[in-house]
Amino acid sequence: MSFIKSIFSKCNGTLITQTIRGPPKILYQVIRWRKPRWVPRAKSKEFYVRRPTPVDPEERVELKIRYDHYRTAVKSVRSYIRKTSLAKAQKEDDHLIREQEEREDWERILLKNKQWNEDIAQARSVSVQHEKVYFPPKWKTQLLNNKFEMIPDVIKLLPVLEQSKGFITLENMDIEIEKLLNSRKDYNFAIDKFGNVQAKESDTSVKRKHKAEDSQHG
Amino acid sequence: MPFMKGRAPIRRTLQYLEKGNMIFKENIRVLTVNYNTGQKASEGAYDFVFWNLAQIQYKNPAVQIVTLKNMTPSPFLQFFFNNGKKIVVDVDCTPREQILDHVKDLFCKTEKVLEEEKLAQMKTSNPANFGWAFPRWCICEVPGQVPCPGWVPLPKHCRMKYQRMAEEENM
Repeated sequence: MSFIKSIFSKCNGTLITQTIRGPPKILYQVIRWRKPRWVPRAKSKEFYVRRPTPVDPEERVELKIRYDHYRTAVKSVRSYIRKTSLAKAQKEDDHLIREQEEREDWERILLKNKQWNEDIAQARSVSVQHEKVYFPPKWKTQLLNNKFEMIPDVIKLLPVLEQSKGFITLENMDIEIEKLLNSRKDYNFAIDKFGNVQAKESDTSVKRKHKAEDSQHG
Repeated sequence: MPFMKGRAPIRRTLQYLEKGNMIFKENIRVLTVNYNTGQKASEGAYDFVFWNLAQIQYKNPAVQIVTLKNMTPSPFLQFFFNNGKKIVVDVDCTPREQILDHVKDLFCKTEKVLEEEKLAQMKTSNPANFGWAFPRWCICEVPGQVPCPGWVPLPKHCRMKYQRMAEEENM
C-alpha cells in the first residue's frame, strides 16, 4: 500500500482508497495541475539559494577556445549547404527557365508531328488510288473501274473460286486420304505475339521415352 | 474464371493496367481518338484503343479521353492542351506499336522527369519523419520499437536514475 502511494505521490493525482476490508480497492484519478502564477512561492522554497555550479577557470578558458573553433566550423558548413541548396532549388524553380524549356519542347513536338503527318499523308496518297481501304460504295467502284462489270456477289466469290482448286472431291478423295495418313503434323511449336512460329523442337523426347521402355524390357 | 467476362478480360486486371508506361505531360487535358469500325486503315487505331487506352486512362486519371467512331473518313488522334491549342496526329494505316512510340515520344513525360518526380516525392514522404504533418507522431508507435514510457515504463537498466544508483553501490 505504501509502495503504491510512494509511486503515485510523484504524479499529479488523487488517490482514493477503501480501507474497510480485504485488499485495497484503488480509484486513481489523474488531474493536470500546476500552481497558478499569482500564488506565492512555497514556504519551504521561499529563501532557497542555489549553490553555484563549480567552475574550473582554466578548463573554462580551454573549453571556450575549443567551442569557438567547433562552432565556426559548423556555422561555415551550414551556411555553405544553405547557399548551394538554395541556388539549386532556385535554378529548378526558375519559371523563366521552365517556360523556355516548355516553348522549346512545344516547337519540337510540332515539328516532329508535322513530319509524321506528312509521311502518313504521302503513304495514304498511294493507297487512295486503289480505294480499297476507305468507304467506297460498291456501285462507285463499279462505275470507276469499268474493266470488270461484275455484280457485287460475284466479286465476293472471286477469292473462293481460287481456293476451290484445292477442294477434295470424289476423284481426289483416295489420294488425299493417303497423303494425310502418310504425313505427320507436329504441334510442338511456339509462337510470339506477332504470330511468327519460333524454332521447332526436334522430337527427341518421344524417342528417349521409347528407348527407356525398351531398356527396361530388354 | 467465370468473372473474367468479355473480350480480352486481361485488360481489366490490375497487373495489366499498372504495366502502362504512358504518363502524359501535365499540360495535356483531353485526348480524342477518331476511328472507323470495319475499316482497314483504322485497324491500328482500333488496336490502340482496344489494348492501350485503359492503361493510359489508369495512369492519367485527370485526362479526359474520348473515342469517336465512324465520323470521319480516316482515323486520327487529337491532343488538347492547357493553352487551348491542339495537335492532330494522323494514324491512317499505322500499326498500334508505331502509334504508341510516336505518342510516347511527343506527349509523355521522359524517364528523366519521372525519376526527378519520384525523388522529390520520396524526399517529402520520408518514413523517418515524425510529428505534425507526418503519418506518425513518434517512433514509439511503430511495432517493434521501444514503447512510449508514458504507457510502459522503461526497464530499470535503461533509466539513468537506476544506473547511477548501481554505480554508487559499486563505489
